Formats: sequence, C-alpha cells, structure tokens
Amino acid sequence: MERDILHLAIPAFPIALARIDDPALRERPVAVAAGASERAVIQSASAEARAEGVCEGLSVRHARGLCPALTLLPPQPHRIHQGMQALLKMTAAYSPVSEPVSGGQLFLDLTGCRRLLGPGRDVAARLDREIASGLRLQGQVGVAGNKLVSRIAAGCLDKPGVCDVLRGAEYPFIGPLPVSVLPGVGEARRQVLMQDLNLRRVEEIAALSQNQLRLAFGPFAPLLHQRARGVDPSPVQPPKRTPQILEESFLVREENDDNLLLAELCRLVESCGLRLRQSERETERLTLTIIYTDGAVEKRSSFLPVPLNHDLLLYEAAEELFFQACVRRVRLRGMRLLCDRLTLESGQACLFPLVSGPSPKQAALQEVLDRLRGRYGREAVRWGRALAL
Amino acid sequence: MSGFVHLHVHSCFSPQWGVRSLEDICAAAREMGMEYLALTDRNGLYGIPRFLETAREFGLKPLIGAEAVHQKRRAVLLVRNPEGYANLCRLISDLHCSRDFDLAKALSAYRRGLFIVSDDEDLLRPLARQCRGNIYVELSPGHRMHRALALSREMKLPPLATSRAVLLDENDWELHRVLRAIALNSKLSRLAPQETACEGDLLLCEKRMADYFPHCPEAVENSLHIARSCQSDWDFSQTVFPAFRSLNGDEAFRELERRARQGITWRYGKTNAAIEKRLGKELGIIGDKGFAHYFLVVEEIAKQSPRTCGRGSAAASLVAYALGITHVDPIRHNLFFERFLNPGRTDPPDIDIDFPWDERDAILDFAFGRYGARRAAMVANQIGFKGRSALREVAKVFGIPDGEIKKVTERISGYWHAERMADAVARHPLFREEQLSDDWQEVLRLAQRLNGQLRHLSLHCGGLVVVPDEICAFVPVEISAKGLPVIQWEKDQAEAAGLVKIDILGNRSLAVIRDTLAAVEKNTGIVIDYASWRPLEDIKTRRLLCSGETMGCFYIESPATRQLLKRMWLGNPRARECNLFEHLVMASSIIRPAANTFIREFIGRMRGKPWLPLHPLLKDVLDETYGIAVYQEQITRMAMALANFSAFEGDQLRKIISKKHKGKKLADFRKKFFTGGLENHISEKTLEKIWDQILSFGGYSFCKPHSASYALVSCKSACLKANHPAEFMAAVISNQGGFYSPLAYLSEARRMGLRVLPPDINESDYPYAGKEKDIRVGLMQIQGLNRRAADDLLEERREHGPFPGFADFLQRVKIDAADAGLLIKAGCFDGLAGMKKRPALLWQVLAFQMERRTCESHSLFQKARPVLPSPAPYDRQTVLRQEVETLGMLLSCHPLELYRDRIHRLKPVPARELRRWTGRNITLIGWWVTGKTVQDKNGRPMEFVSFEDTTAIFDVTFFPNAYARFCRKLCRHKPYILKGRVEEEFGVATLNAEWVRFLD
Repeated sequence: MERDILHLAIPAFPIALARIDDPALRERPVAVAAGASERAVIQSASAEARAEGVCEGLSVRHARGLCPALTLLPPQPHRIHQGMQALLKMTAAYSPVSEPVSGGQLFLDLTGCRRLLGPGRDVAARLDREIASGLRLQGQVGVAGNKLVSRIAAGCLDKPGVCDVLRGAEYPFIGPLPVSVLPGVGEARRQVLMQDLNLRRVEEIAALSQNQLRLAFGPFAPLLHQRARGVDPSPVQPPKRTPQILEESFLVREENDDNLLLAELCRLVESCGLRLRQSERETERLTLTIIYTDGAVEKRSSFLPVPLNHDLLLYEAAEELFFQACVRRVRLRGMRLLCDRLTLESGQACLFPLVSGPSPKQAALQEVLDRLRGRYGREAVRWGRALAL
Repeated sequence: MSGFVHLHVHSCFSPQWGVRSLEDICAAAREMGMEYLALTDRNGLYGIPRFLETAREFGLKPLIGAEAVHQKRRAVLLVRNPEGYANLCRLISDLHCSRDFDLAKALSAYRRGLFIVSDDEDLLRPLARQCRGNIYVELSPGHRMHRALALSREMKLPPLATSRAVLLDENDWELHRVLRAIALNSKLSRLAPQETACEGDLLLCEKRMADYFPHCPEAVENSLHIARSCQSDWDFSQTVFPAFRSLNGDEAFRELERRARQGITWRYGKTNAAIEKRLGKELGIIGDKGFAHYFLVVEEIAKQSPRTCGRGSAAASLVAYALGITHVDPIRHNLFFERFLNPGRTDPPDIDIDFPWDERDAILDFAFGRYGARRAAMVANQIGFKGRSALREVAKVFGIPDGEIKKVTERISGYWHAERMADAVARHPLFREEQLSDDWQEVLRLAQRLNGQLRHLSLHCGGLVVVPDEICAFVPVEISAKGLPVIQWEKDQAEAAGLVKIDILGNRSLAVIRDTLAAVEKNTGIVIDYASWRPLEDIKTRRLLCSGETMGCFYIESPATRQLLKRMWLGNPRARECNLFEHLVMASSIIRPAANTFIREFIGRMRGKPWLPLHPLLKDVLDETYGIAVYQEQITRMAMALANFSAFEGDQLRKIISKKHKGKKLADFRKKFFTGGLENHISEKTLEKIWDQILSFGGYSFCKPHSASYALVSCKSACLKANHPAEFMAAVISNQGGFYSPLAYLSEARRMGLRVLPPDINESDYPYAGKEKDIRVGLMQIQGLNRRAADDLLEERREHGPFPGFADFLQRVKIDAADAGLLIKAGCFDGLAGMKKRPALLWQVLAFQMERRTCESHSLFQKARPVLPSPAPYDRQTVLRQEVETLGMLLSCHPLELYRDRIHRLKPVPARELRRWTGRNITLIGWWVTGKTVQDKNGRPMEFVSFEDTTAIFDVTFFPNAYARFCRKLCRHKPYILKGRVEEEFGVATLNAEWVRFLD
C-alpha cells in the first residue's frame, strides 16, 4: 500500500514557545544555548538569527561574533515538554500512530486513512490551521511516501504551510536540494566534508558510488547513499510507555543553597512516595535530574537495594543522588525525580534484615501520615526537612 | 601595657584564609593597647617583611611565626631567635617541596629556636618525649578548649591562650567564608566547619580573652612570657649578595676590577681621564658596598647570550657597560650613576637583563645549573584579587552562571580596583540604564572587600635570587607549577629583606633582531656585528625614526609613541639641532599615563617655543629635557636642588612616587619638599607646579639609563626595518607578541611595498621568511596544524629536496589527514597543483588515508582504491572562507576589499589624505587595529583606537561623550564607518569620532 507520512515541524520550537510567553522576542535574533558559557553550543536559533549565520552546533562565542545583537535564552525543558504534549494531543485526533522526534517535530502515519480523512495534504492543511489557532504556533508540514522525504519537505518551506511530494517523485524532489537537508549531515559534516569536498547538492552525493562515499564517510556511507536517493523504509514508531512516577519542580527563585535545594528534593520525594503508596507499588530505581540555571542538565540514577515506597528511605537515596549530580556551583532552576521499575508492594518481610525496608515504627508512622494527609490535605503535615528553615 | 599577647594571628597573607590587611590588624592591636603582636600566617611567611615595617609604624613589637598545617596536623610556630627563623623557613620549605613531608618529624628536626604551640595530642607527645622545653598546649575559645586544657594538665605542658584571630569583627566572617568557598571551589552551603575558621576567631582584647580563662589564668600570662622570650628587633636590612664561585670579598673585587679594565679597552680602545675618574668612583662604591660578587654573577649570566639588553638603572654604570652587561655608553650619554648606586643607598639595586624570549628558559637553566636550587630561587608574584577576578569569583560562589558573569565582567576594565568597583559600575557608560539585581549588588558588596587577600604565588617574570649558602634559611621556598623553586616574597618584600634580585627577562624584540640578522646574512651575506653596530649612522634609519613609521620597532611602535615621534620631528624647524638618540630616549620616557599636558609642552619647546626654567636652581637638572621632568632620577635631582634633599632622601621620594601605595609617606615628603623649598626662598606657586610634575611620574616611569638602553634596541630595530624590511617584518610576525596582530603587520608590510606570499609546501619554513621584496607566510600561521607534522615535512624537504607533486608529498611524509587537509586549504599546494585542484587533493588524501589504514591493519582482503571523483573547483567565497579558517585572517586581500562596492557608494576619504581635511567633518572606513581605553582628567573613560583602510593606518579619538555613546560598539574584526572631525596638532592629523556604524 502506498504510504502517507506526514511530518509536522514547528521551526525553532523552544524559541516559538518563548515568544508566546514574551512577545518582545518576536522578530529579533534569538537562540537557545545550554550552559551560557562561551563554549556552550547553540541548540536552537530563530530565523532572524539564522539570517545572520547563527545555526545549531555553533559555540556561543562564534554565534555572538556573527550576530552581536543575539539574545540568548537558556533551555526550558518543561515548556518544551508542555508544548510537545499539546501538539501530540492535537494530532491524536487524526492518527493514533505518531512519533515525536525532538522538540516541535513529529511524524504522523496516515497510511490507509485517505477515505476517512481525505488526501494527506488536506489533513496537513487542517492540522496546520488548528495548530495556528489553538496553540498560536506556526508549523510547516511535509507529506510524502516516507519519513525522510516528508521531513525534508517540511524543512524546505521558508514560511508556514504544507508541502506535498508526489509518490515516486522523491528523488527528483530532493536531488537539487543542498546536502544539509539530509539527516546525519549536521553542521560539522557539512562544513568539514561537504564544503571541503565541494559536494553541495544531494544529487552530487547520489551520483557517487558507495565506495567513493566510504572514503569520506566511512560506515555512514551506505545510509547516506540510500538517503541521497530519497529512500527510507523506516516505520513511524510511537514511543513506548513504561509505568513510572515522575515529579518535577521548578524553583520560584533559582538557588544554589543546599539547604533549600534539599528541602525541595524532600518535597519531590514526598510526592513520589505518596503516589507510589497510593498505587500500591514500590520503585527499584530512582533517577534524579537537576537543571541548572544555564540550561545544563545533570542526571544520576541508582538501583535501590530493595523496592521501596517509604518517604525517608527514598529521601536517603535521593539525597545521595543529589550530591552526586549537583557538583557545580551554578544555581538550580529545577529538579525532576523519576521512580521507575515499579513493582507491586510486597506484604512479605524480607528474609535478610540488612537490606530490609522501613522498620515497623517507620512504616506505622508513614501510614499515619498518609492518613492525615488523606483527610486534611497534603500540606497538613510535612517532614521537617521539607521545610527550608 | 597589656598582659596578653596575640600569638596566633592570620592576616590576608594566609593564602585563601586570612581576611584583614596588616595595617588593619596592627591598628586594632594598637588600639587594644598591645605591645607585641605575632603574625602566624598559614604555611608561610608571605608577609613578614611588610609586617615588620607595619608593626613598627604602629608602635608594636613584631613577632615572627607561622601556622604549619599539613594534612590533619597543625601547630603554631613562633620564632625565638635567628636560628629559629632559619629553621622555620626550612620547615615551611619542606612542607611545600617535600612529597613525604611529615609535620611531626619536621618539628622534631627543626624545633631549635622555636616555640611550638598546638592542641594536637599526636603531635605533642613525641615532641614532649624528645624535650619538654618550649612546647605549649594551645587553648582557644570555640576550639574544644576543655579537651586541650585536660591535655595540658595530663601532659604537664604549659597552656597558652590564643584566639586564632582571623577576623577583626563579625562582618569578616562572611568574607572569610566566601574566600574559603572560592579556595575550595565550593559554595557557602557546602562548606564543612573544619574547612573554615570559627565565627569567634576574633582579635579579642585582653579583658575578653581573660574572661574566657577564669579557670586557667596562666594560659593568658604565658602569652606575655613567650612574647618576651621571642626576638622582636628584627633587622632584615642587611643585603644578601650572591657569592661568585668560591672567591672571598677582596678576591671578587680584584677580579671585577680586572675584568672592568679589560672591558674598558674593549669598549673604548684606550682609557682617558674621564673614564678613569668615573671607573674609580664606581669601583669605590661597589667595593665599599660589597657589590663585586653581584656584578660578576650577573656578568656570567649575561655572557650566555650574544644579544642582551641590560636595562634599568644599572645602565648608568660604566662597570656594567665595560662588563658587557649593558650596552649604552654612560659617559657619552651623561647617565646619572647615583640613580643606580649611591653611598647613602641602603636597599639593594637590581640589574635587569633582557634576553631573546626563546632563550630565557635556557638562561634560567644555566643559572640553576650553576648555583643549584639550594642557593637560587625565583622571585614570586603574590596573586590576589583584582576588580574583575574578585567579582567573577564571588559571583561563582553565589551560583551565578558563567554567561551572566561574563556579561558583567567583560565590561569591567582589568585596572579597576576591587574597592572602588561598585562606584565604577554605577558611573561607567557601559552600565548605563542597567539596574543590577539584588544578587549582583550583594556580589559587588563582597567583591569590593576582596582586596589584597593572597590567593597563590606565581613566578615573577624574571626575578632570580641567589644567596651565598642556603636560600631556605632566608625565606621559605615553594615549587612553582613550572617546577622552579620560588620564594614566598614578591620583589618588594624580597628587596626589603635584603635579597638582591637579578631580573632575567624575555624580550621578543631581541629575538626579532637576532632572526633578522640571521636572515640578512643568509640572503645577502651581510654580517652586522651586534656589539659595534651604530644604527643611527644610517640615514635611512634616522629618516624612519623621524617619520614615526615604526610599527614593529621595539618600544616605539604603539600608536601613542608613533604619534609622538611624528609630532616631534615632522616639519620641526629645529630638527637639525636636536640629537636624535637623546630625543628618542626622552620620547621613550615621557610616554607615561599622567604626562599628557607635559608631552604637549615638551613637543612645543622642542619645536622652538620659548621657555624659561621653573626655577633657576633647576637649570642644570632639567635643561637637557627642555625644563620638563622626563626621567625618574630628575625627581631626585630636583628635590636635591630645590629642597635640600640628600641623594638618599631624593631616591626615596622617587621610589614612593612610582609605587602604588603612597599614602602617608608621600604626604611627609611633600611637606619636606615644601619646607625645604620655602627655606630656599622659592615661591609656593612654583613649588606647586614642580610638585605636579613630580606627581606625573606616578604609575610607571623610567630612568634615563633604562630608556637609553631601550632606545638603543629601538634604533637597531628601526635600522633593520629601514634597510631589510622583508626580513625584519617576517621576524616581527614570527616572534609574535608584538603590539599588533599579524594582519596589521602584513598590512604595514604591504604599505611598505612588500609582497605577501601565501604559504607554500616547497617555499615556506615554519616561521615567516622575508627576502628582498617578499614575505612568505610560514607554516606557523596555519591554525591547528600539528607542530610535529610541520617539522616532519620540513625535515623531509631538507633531506630529500622539494616535493614535485602532491602524490609524492603523500608518499614521503607520514601526515595525518586533518593536517594534510589544513595544508591544502591554506593553499600550500596551489603552487604544485593549482587552486582549482584543492577539492580533488582532499579526495586524494581520503583515499590515501584509507589505503594506509588497510595496510596497517594487515587485512586479508585489500580493498581496491575506487576511482576518485573530479569535483568542481571552489568558488571565491569558499576560498576566502578557507583562508580565514586556516590562517586566521584574509591573506589574499585586505578585509575591506570584500566591501568594495559599499565603500565606493559611501565615498569615504582615504586615510592617507587625512591631513588635507583638517578642521572638516569627513567619513572614513576603517578596520579595527588596536585600541586603548584611558580616563580623562575628570575620570571619565575615553578611548584611542587605531584603524586602517587600504591606504594607511590612522588614529581615532573617542572623547568621553562619543565613547559613552559608542563604547558598546567598539569591538574587533569589524569594518567601521567612522564620521567625525579631523584635528591636526604638530602636523599630525587624527579623527575625533562623532558617529560610528558597522559596514556589514
């Protein structure tokens, strides 16, 4: 059956979201860089910044040299997460098979939906309008017979709209385009190899043999050759879901005081612990992610000796993770605590007391606390260490 | 008199621990009525010479000590006598230098002459077993005092009360914690208690101390007992000379005299009465002061290189000239010997010698090889916080991200003092319309208190100290990052402690001269003898110096000096009467920060403006410099002539003026100057004028011998530039570190009519090379090229001849693909294969690399080499981009050429025609070359910037208003449109900027 793959892309998604929050950023060169040091790498650049030569992968120093008026924003992972969820919710009405790629981009498999929804380009146009009116975001949509070409088609548009590539015309469509449209040819490969070797258009790559390409690209050559011919057999794969409990917190005021940060961590542990106990589950693994003010992210995980859902024991493990992860002096913007590898709560006591869970007294206290919270609200009673004193 | 003495006190010389300055601590101790005060900084005697001076100023008897802290052991050591001082120095040196240092063992070995104070049982027990004398148990409030008291009673060792004073008041605690967080690369909330002092470690008064010890009054009394037993009348003023070989004083003097007389014959051919008189006088003073060893040691070091520049006041010495240490004839140029040595001078003068920068390490190796690390060590720089670093470090402690810190600190000048930073930030135009957040206000508040606290030592750029026997007995020694021994004192304290310093400095221009002479000899066969060279006898050199076209010439290449030379000589009706060398010496000296008004007057007088001496008594002193004080020693002579100063007092005044911390001493000298002047019936108004001139020597200034030494090197550089421009400019760029970027020097070379040739695989050496009218770019300019790869290919070319083709190159040189790619993109193979083949060559490199990899892996199945593609040649944009990428600059054309069409539309005035537009408003196009921010007399910032277009280099002044408006736009590597008014002074035109924009 002929495939209909739709690719939706919101150009410079983090910046598009930031512009919803702060309209003053519109029509100005803006970029996002994690860790605002001079060596930090640009993650996203607005069209205005791109016009000045700024692009992803450049160092902040280089970018500032190219565009002195550049406004740099730190990454806002939580906003991106929210934005992506909103996009997925909107596209779910068209097809259940969707694959979020990265910030602001997703594939939608419309194969077999023509009679239900109409031709792919009509679906794309409808979706584009809905996103513009519902989310105030301007999207570019590509429709083609595979993921590669639909993605390139969406990227070809210089303004919001829809680009539909006729089935069978994939190679003639991408042939005259610059090599940078091919996935896997990032700024570094384009600069170092494509410009040095004077290979500028996709058709020039397609014209080379795999052996020739292998000289320059090594094991990547066969894939590059295939892509240059517009071939991509990969399916649209929805993300796999695993049971997990995630709590995150973004601080009211960015902070590097351990006392305040540990208090916040304790609140996260309390919330996770409560949800675990409510669902009668225990976690085998804790993952703590801390987000620095400059956008840098640090993540640490640890397997617990036994599955747990007790606040104090979870906190001990989380505190250890905190000191492993938070090694810089830079202030934190937020923290995320993930409990996964969930198991059902076991009523049986452990055979080996050295690696046991909470003591009977601790368990009883936790139970009473949960009851109090259930009756009077979560804030009614807290662990002292959750209060930043 | 107080019955308690503070015997455990930390000043800001406790690295990354102490907070308060010696002045603050001494003042506080004095206020408490203390008679004695000990300084016991951590693991060092970093501030002892200064402490001795400061304590005496405050009427305190200084006691020397240190707190030795190693791993988890600590003890306070107080010096009883000179033997104890030497032992303390040895112990601290071991602590820093010995890998297997053990404090207990070291104390046991070096305890003679020391009081040992500690509350560490493991340390005290073995020491007490060895001998119970002079050991005390330290009892300090807040430091487990009761346990210490129990230990004292159990071991029957006397107790001693201390407060472990680090803080003077409660506010210091916060600063101490910030310092600790900086030191430990930590944040305030993560500092462990044992990593900081306690909040109560204050300099307490006797009563408060006594209140802590009602149960043990003898602990307080013991402090006075110890203080009285320690030596407090320390005298560090005795000069410590190096010893030359194993000669005694008389033998060394006779050897010096013999060599000096030999040198006189070498320098002058035959002697005369003037020489004999001067030689006799100098040798007399040298002999009296025991300086013979020092001269012989310096001579021996100087002889290690044929091209040196002995400078500083030593250049006034005929003996130094005869020994070949200095190269300017002090008799011919009337150099004032008393500036170097005089009978009243008590402090040791030092001799500075410049060596070619790349020979300096070998010279130091020689010195250490000759005298050994036991006798020789480098002088330290004591690194503290400056305005910018203080702000950055405190902000990091507060968790502010780097990017945000940089946004603030990049607008802060490196010259801003920490204590005045908040004020400077509030006033500076770069911070206009910007309200710093509360966090930043807090950071600023703390950062401005970080002033003078010692962070760590670094190596002084060249100061070497040699002593007759063991340096560790004079001062503690550490090991620098470079592996050289370094004393704990910086040059001023080393001098105050009588250690004679030999400055062995690196000078790039001497290397430029060396390389140029070698190239000239190679290219033309002309050999110039460095010692007998008389550069000013060459007319082209004289013309070049008078024209101010001295870019690349040592010490006279800055825009300010070039402008000064032009103003002095262009159209000067008195040019023939003025001695060029003497005026060059004056020019080198008068360029100093606070002398702008005097420079204008100086040029006017030189060009014939009538003038009268400020006072007839100054006629002899200032006549040679048109009645204006130009040289440092003129301060001494003016004070002697007008206000009855002795030579020693005059010299002290000179030293205080040129130092940063003048304070009260300057006020005392001013009073003496005015009193002496009034006694000589000189009006107060005249004295005020003269005093203003004296004050203009603040910051930095030079003595005539120093400037004369430099001027001689300047003349030699100018001679080479005038006669062998290609070789000279190539050497200037190759030795790097000049005032300008390579692009600016290449532009200058083009303006001189030289051709700049791109790098070539068969023609280029590693450095730039000049010959006739061509400068060939060297492989050193290729950014990222592995030095070893460059050396390999040059070696191969030397051994087996040039490369006939690219394939031959690949076969003969084992080079990494990345390096080969750089060579191709830099155009090194354009001569062999043509520019159009560059992409094809890169394919060849890839194929060759694959073949080599396959060979090296000994694969069973050899892959056949595919047919290589034939890519199209690069377009011009790509070629230019590759030029910038590989060479760091545009070589094939001036960057402004890229904007030719836009420039044409703007119709700017070419820079070489600037003078024709004097008094008119014009538009210029400029590429930023260099800039200097200064302050006007009202303290407002302004900037002098040099730009160049394709015709000339020109200077633009951004006066405070223009600077405030455009300072945020002034950055490098941009094409500028500049509008403003052309001003001319003494025949030199400059642009006063009124409007600025970028061309792109």
